[in-house]
Amino acid sequence: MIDSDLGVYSDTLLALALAFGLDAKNEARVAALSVSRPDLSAAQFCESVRNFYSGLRGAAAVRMFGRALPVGMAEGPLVKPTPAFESVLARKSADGQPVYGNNVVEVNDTAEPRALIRNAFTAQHDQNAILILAGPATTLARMMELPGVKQIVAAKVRYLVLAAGDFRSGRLDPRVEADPAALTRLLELWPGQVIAVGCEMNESLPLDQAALETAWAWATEHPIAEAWKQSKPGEIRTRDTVALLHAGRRHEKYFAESEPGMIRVSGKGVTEFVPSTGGRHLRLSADTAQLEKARAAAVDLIATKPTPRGPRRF
Amino acid sequence: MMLTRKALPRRLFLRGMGAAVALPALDAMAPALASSQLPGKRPVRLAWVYVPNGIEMQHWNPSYTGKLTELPRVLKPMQELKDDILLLSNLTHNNGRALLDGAGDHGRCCGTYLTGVHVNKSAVDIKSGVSVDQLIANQIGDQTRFASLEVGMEDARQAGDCDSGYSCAYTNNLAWRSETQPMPPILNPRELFERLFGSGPALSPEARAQRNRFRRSIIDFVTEDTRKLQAELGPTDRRKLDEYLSSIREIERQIEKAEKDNAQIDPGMDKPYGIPADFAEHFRLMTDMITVAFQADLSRVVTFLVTREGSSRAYREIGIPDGHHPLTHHQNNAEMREKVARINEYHVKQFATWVGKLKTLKEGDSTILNNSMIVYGAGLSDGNRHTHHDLPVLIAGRGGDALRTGQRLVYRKETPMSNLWLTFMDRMGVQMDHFADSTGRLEGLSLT
Repeated sequence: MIDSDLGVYSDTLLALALAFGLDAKNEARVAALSVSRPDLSAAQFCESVRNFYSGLRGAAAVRMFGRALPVGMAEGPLVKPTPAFESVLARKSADGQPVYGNNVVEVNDTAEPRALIRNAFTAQHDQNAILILAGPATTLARMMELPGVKQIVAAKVRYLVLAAGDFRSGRLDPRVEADPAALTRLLELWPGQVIAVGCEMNESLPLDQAALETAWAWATEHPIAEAWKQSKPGEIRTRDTVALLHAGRRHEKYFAESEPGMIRVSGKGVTEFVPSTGGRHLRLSADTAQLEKARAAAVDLIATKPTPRGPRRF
Repeated sequence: MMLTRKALPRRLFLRGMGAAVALPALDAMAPALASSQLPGKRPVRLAWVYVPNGIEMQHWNPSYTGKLTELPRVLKPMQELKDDILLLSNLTHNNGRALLDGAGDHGRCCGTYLTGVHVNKSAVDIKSGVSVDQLIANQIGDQTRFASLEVGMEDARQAGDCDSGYSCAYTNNLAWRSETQPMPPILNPRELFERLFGSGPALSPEARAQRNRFRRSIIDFVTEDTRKLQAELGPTDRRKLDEYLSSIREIERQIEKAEKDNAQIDPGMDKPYGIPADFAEHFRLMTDMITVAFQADLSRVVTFLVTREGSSRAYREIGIPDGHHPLTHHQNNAEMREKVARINEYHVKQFATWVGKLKTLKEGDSTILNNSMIVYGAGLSDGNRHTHHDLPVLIAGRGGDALRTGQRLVYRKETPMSNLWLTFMDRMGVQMDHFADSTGRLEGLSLT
């Protein structure tokens, strides 16, 4: 399950592609997607991406995926649409139909995110779910406060991968700065393990833009590739990509996990990792020995072709 | 004329020969200074009318939101009542989904409908939750003779496997007193009538048999009391009492007629005594009695399981000899879908007749409908795909001028149905922080 501020960083697009790459290779299932900003274009884009990876197109995908869980979106006044998403979603095929169809027309076509993610957990086998947060913690903190959720999480979720925080001294991550109290609350309530991937990991997995475009060469239509190119990434930050790669292939040890500790959040949003025996938090750092292996894996997963598969039924 | 504060007792009964007939709310029961021009606080009634096997949702959901105008096909019988109803969309019972338990959506959806919990998959070890109607009945039930009424029209079996390993207790009950104690509905109109109007333990078996032998109306046994009371009432109340007693007499007559008709049917059929063969007639009898129960404030909480979840009843009354449940697994066959839509329409038509009647029954400056919240719905939306989201929800009545009717409200997807039940509990004075999988209350319903 992924809750992200999709549309803010181009890195998140790559992370989304990587997640669906894991899905296409049968290593994981993307069970729920939620956008932590009230950006309708981001929610529409998420649903289009999900439809794209089903291997179906247009109306057929829309019909099939009417059965799957909808995309969640944070509450609040809608923000301006993300230009890259608007542009991609506006693409029409020769018959005038949208190339990337989706069912989201208005806010009520998206899901209330707390209920969505909780409901997705309830359908998992015990200890079979991984939650990735790549955005402010507002939605997840509120979800954790729902009655019974803590018990559900303890049963169903292996760990939380937290693509938020900056563990270099005194630095601020805008994702935490947006709502520091929410992250504090989430960490207080979360019953299991948390793996933090801080901003310092942005440079830990250098991805070559040309290499990505080559890997995507097979795709005449690819919503993520198109959106990513339009977002003019320039220098590629990869914190979110690292987070998803580690979430899905932790056993490969592409990155180093710290000794146990505790994440502290100041009132202003400065995050600090404090080693502590018995702590439930870990912090990720780069492992130069694994760099090439990690980079190859990331590019391969990001550029994986969709594997046609029907929607998972709860 | 001097006004006094002396009023008729609220719990007055007409009595005679072991019979006791409760009275409807009369103006004379309010303090003397109250009049039909002054708003009086009438009790709010709550009822659920549940139909099985989902609904043809393409003919249920309007294409618009906001103010109700032209209603879709299945809801067309409610067209004249559109200003008195609310349509809600996108409400979900996540706990009705499989959640790793495999097949059994019919068992789950009915067991979950008023409890909000994921019921235990077993034909013997049943476990649900306390249903919302019982939580409300626990709170207000001491104010009426019956804390709640459970009514149905088909199959009250409590044992056995009725759906893929789920007990019949799940498919054949809506109300649950505790997590292991369902409350079976009364199916037989005569049984319901005698429960509501019978004389109770005061009448000896011999006297009861004598009364039945004479086949006289229960109304005939309270004639003396009726005459005395009418002398004390104003013209409005006299008319109200006449209408009410006429309703009871008519219900009795219908039950007797149904029993007589059934007696002419081949006795080789295992037809319960007193249950009409005709669906519409059975529905009308049951709702007429619910109406009287509301009028006389015998109960304020009613659940009506129209037919059991998963019902395979045929509807020969409207020319459909196929079983309802098999039809709903139509695999998009147009002919089968058409039949399902006609069954859905037929159900709504019966409901509309009842709601229309409630709208005509005055209570002070209001009506019984206005002082009620009656939910019409199903535990599944798409019966073919067994979906538990965007459940069909229609609310008739304003809950005592609390609800903003005449509109369709569409909520965010995955909004729990339990949020609606929590909102109802607020209206009925039950204080709860949450209910089952609720995430809060529903916005937009309330007039205040």
